[in-house]
Amino acid sequence: MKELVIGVGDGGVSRDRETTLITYALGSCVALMLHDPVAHVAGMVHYMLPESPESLQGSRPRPYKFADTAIPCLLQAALAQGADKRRLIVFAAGGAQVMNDNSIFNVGKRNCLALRKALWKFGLVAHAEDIGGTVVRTVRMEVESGRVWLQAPSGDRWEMSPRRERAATPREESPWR
Amino acid sequence: MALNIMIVDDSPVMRVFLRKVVQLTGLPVGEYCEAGDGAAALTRLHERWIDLILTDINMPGMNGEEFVRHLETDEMLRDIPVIVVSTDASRERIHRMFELGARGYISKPFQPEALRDEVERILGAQHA
Amino acid sequence: MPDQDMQHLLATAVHDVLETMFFCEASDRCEPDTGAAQLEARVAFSGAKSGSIHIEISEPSARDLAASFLGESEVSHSQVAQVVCELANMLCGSIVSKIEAQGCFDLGAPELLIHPDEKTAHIAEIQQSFAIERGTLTVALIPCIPA
Repeated sequence: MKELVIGVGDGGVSRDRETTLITYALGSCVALMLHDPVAHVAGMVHYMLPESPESLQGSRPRPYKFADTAIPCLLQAALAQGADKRRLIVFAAGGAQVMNDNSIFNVGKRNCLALRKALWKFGLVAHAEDIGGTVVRTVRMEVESGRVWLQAPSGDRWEMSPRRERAATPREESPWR
Repeated sequence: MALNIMIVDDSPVMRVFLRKVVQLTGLPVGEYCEAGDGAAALTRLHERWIDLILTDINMPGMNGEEFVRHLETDEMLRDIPVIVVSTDASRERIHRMFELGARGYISKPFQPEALRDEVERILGAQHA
Repeated sequence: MPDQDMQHLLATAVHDVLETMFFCEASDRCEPDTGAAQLEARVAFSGAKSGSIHIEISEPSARDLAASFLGESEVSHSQVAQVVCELANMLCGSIVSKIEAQGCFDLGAPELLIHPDEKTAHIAEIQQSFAIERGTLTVALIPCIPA
């Protein structure tokens, strides 16, 4: 199994069925993941802030850093790889309140709101979310299956399941080494 | 088979919002019919087949409660499933609307996926 | 209901409505924005208690909220006005539902207040302003004073 690591402020798409997309240490940042189960296209972005500065709009040197540019970029990249928007399963994780954020600088919460706003603009909502709280998350997504696994610093691991699409199953072995 | 959805709300922008939510379901929608109050909705219901009604309560003219009461008394219309989408979250109102035959009730403010899930639950059961 | 509880109830309703339907964060209390043009709307309610909710929102903020609500980049002035009315409607319903959790109430149609003589001075039971993107939102609960 190959790994494609998505760094902070970065994003990527894969059609390689042997690949797992992974991003580490989601604190207040948010990971948005898209999966087309028919075309086997998977995309992941790890964005840091809700809005790009107006001075950057148009030139967009780091589109994956900001929710309002990252989400359309990821969607476009996934569609370019053959994904169909109507089939997309959408996952979101992160947006934690970390380091004693006070309400003025609550970046995690603002990132979560920016996620919903950007998805709504494209006629999408998340099918599964694991957001907020105070846990720093690491996320993996399998291109072949579209399954998404989370891990906390404590070592706890759990799978995200889209609402209504998966019946409760016994906890299976996660693809962690 | 394509489904026809009726949206009854006096706010044009709320009708746009509700239409977007229905589109989230991915269900095949043939036509969206819209009305600004219950009376206009009843007129349109006798003109075309409707598979689901989303209705507000507080509307000028015929409000949503009177509208649903009229549906229940009409043999042609009583089996059309109704989801109420309203700012009124009082227990008394919610209870009354279910007594009148509503199949679902969503209080504003609501997350789009909550209404999406409700639409899928009701239309899924209808068309299983 | 004690004043402090009413203030908290109003603030909770504002945060709930803005975050859930408009994907917008509001600060805690601030001074109203007197610089930008304001849009004002009012919704009357009746039931065990009667009165109205009155909102004032900075025009640039209203435009942003309308774009978020509709999921569009550009919105018309008419759409902005309709969204402000719907915002007032939802805030009124949310606040009154919390005050009248057990009983039933009716809301009037939201009114956009355009002409200066519609913007009458009112005595608010409670009033708070919130900083939002590009301006402020002020919400007032005005009781109906029996004749």
